[in-house]
Amino acid sequence: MKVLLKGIPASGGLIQGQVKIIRNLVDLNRIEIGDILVASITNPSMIVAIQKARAIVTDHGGICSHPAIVARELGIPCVVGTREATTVLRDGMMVIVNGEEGIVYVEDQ
Amino acid sequence: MLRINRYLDALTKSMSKMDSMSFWPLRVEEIAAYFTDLEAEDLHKKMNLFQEKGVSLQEAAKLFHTPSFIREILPDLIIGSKFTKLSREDRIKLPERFFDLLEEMHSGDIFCDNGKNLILSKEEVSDLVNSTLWIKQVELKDAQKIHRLSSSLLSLMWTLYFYPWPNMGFEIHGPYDVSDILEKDYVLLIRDFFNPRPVDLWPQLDEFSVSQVKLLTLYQDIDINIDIFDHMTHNASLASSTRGFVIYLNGDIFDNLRELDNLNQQILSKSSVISEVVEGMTKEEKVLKFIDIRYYGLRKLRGYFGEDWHRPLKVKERVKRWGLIEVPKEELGPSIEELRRMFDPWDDFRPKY
Repeated sequence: MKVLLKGIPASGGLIQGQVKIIRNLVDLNRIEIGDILVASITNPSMIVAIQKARAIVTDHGGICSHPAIVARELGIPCVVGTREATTVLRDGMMVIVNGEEGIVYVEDQ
Repeated sequence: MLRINRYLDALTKSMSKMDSMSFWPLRVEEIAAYFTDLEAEDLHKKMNLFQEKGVSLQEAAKLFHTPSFIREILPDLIIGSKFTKLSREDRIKLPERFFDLLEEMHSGDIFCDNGKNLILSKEEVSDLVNSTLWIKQVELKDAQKIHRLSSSLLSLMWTLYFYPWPNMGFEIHGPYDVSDILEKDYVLLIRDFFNPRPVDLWPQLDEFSVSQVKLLTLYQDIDINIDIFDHMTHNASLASSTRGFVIYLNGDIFDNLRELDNLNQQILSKSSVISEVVEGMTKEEKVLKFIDIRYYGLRKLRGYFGEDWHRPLKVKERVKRWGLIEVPKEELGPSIEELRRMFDPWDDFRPKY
């Protein structure tokens, strides 16, 4: 497996899913159940979409930021503070999020 | 060790886990200058009046909702005091008076340095656990639904009171060790969402039927930590560790678990309505609403002194006169060392507003 991103481990768990990048509020409507929500940072406007997601990956944030706290309540993996998730990841990519180690992988082709 | 040093240690420990860029809908640096000095002068005056009038700590503490609320407003208050004519001696006394109130409200370490936010005494915990009608046959799907509800309520708090002051509407306290009352390695956690319906701030909530949600949960074999800002971290899944729970909705037991999804939807719906309102605001409107929230948080205190709690005209005049404070979205906040100095009332170091 190839490591795509390293960040701060914010909520444990290992999950595979399809990336959906949220750049604005309109993008929130594109999130479907089981997606990996990727954003610069999350905020309270995104809670409906977050509850559909299987994992969260963000550019910014610490272990006490909004995505981290919400992910821990929901029990879904979360990696924050990757600095470049929204530029390295692409919509539709299948990735594996390891919330315990703060790593996002892609399976070798 | 001096309480102020213990406070600064706990504060910087928590802030090192945060990120100023994740504040919503604005960064604190964009609003603090408009009101913090006024607030510091006002609270300094009121704290002195409490002493002059012989108001007990118990009576004064009731005007500040919860310990987390005090811990949440203190940092800006300390900084604000550095922009006033208060002497250094008075500047130091101000947080000390709040520490006294925290001691009155707390049964554990007032800065949660041991990872616990303990408000109830051992006896109160024992009475509560023994008198609660627990749902103890917990299926994983129900435990997941409860934590989904909790995540919705937390988000609602951020929406209503903005980040960094969500504790104007909730307090998470515990984990209380209840092993001696129940079973080995059991802890009790209380999530008290005591004001999810601040209609004075958000008239859009007028028909919202949820005025309080209290969620009591028993967990086993999980290490839960709560810091000075009521941030919770843990080393295992909350849902899998749940051994019992009870939900109170508007003061009554809510035991129709089939209705949990419906309750969650109501909360999400209100959260969406308010966040859409916020996202549609101009920056000036966001600044003023942000400050309104701060004044709303201190409404009981101002009411006690017979004052109107609303933001004074001077604040809006300042916004008009000074213009909006722009902080580039990607600009890094102060370092932890700078933050420590800013929040230290002994130190004259203050932010550049």
